[in-house]
Amino acid sequence: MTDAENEIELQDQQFKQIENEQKMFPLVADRLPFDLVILDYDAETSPDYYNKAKELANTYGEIRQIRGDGNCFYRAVFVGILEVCMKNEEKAKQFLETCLGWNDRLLKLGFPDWTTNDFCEVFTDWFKKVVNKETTSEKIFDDLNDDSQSNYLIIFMRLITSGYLKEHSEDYAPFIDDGRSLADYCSTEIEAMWKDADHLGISGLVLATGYNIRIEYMDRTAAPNGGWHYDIPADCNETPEISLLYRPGHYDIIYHK
Amino acid sequence: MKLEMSNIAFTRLQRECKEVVTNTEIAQTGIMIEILNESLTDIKGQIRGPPDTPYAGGLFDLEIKIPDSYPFSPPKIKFVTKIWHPNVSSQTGVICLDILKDQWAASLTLRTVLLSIQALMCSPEPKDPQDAVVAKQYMENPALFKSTAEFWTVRFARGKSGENEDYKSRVEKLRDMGVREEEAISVLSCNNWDLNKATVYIFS
Repeated sequence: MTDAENEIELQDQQFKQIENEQKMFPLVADRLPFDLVILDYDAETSPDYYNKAKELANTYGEIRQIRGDGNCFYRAVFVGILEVCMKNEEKAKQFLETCLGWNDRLLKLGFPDWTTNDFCEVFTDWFKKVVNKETTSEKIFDDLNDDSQSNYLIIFMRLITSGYLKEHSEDYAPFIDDGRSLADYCSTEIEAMWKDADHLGISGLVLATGYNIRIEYMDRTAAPNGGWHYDIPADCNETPEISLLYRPGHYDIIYHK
Repeated sequence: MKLEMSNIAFTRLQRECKEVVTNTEIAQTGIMIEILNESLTDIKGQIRGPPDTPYAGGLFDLEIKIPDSYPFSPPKIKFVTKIWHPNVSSQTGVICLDILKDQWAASLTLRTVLLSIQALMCSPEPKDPQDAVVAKQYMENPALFKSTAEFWTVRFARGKSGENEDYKSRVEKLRDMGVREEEAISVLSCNNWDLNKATVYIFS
């Protein structure tokens, strides 16, 4: 084998190993007490994080951890939306309308028709069962934790994110560095599975779904006296229904007390 | 029958296969596939060498393996038929093509991938080579590259154009010394058809 092939082989093995380690965690875990987050930090060695976690625990009662596989942002937001919809039939219907509408919006943007139709259909067929209460909460979370089923739900989130960015290409293109086009950026960073979401991905998904989110940052810079969070979009008036906890490179869902 | 991939992925793949098998364009595009097992994980691809390239007239077979996570991970595709091309390993058939790696998108299909490989046959990318020796020849001696690639097409890809008699006789000389045909062609090609260099390479 050539060096390049050896390198690819080695990379493959490393990815496989990381993947296998990640697969020890469920894709979408159960809701657990927020105190778990505090336990991750040591009061002596990392007092900033520890104190931040304690402060957050005053506001948030529970956390739902999401597997760190590069899809965590998309998955966390989707599960957040789903939980809102499972409790509120009106909102569920509204979200279904939004999703059904995306099929045409994507085709108009030039997404390849039959693979796109396929992804949209799989998603909306699945979500219709949620709206029409033809499924149980248990089955929903089973599906969310089934790799191949949930990949189809995630790709839909990624496609509409990409779609939203493309619909507003004039606004977003200036934020892409290294001279790539928005289309290029979308196909390699947004539409590609297992790629972390950056600020464009975050903005795109929020606006594509119509669900605002609040992100609490668990890092040193965000520590001063707690309550330092970002709402997306920044100018949203009401407290977003979905809150995420950001720890470097990773998002989980958190729930208000 | 054991299904590793999900039913949704399986159904999609069935449609993808149909798209290539029954596509009316097949006569024009010259790509086709043959399904090798029921679970659709092993597929044989075939690309007709595009006209006005050194591959014209050849039929190139490809091995296509569909991973469990398809279509979210790319199919694994390599040339089975030996081909002299800067972006394909002349030894293993491994292809260097962005959409088979980090540029893969779940919206691509077997058809689009095969067409991309065919396009790569028309327009090599020597700056991003898979086979450095071939790429060097392509850039430094395009005429030699062309005649070598044509020779490979005739020998390995059932190409019908006339064979380069000069190259043929050099291959024969190495074969007389007991060298396998494939190795003889490969070593001669890598040494710009210099018989002495090739002989030294093999026997030293």
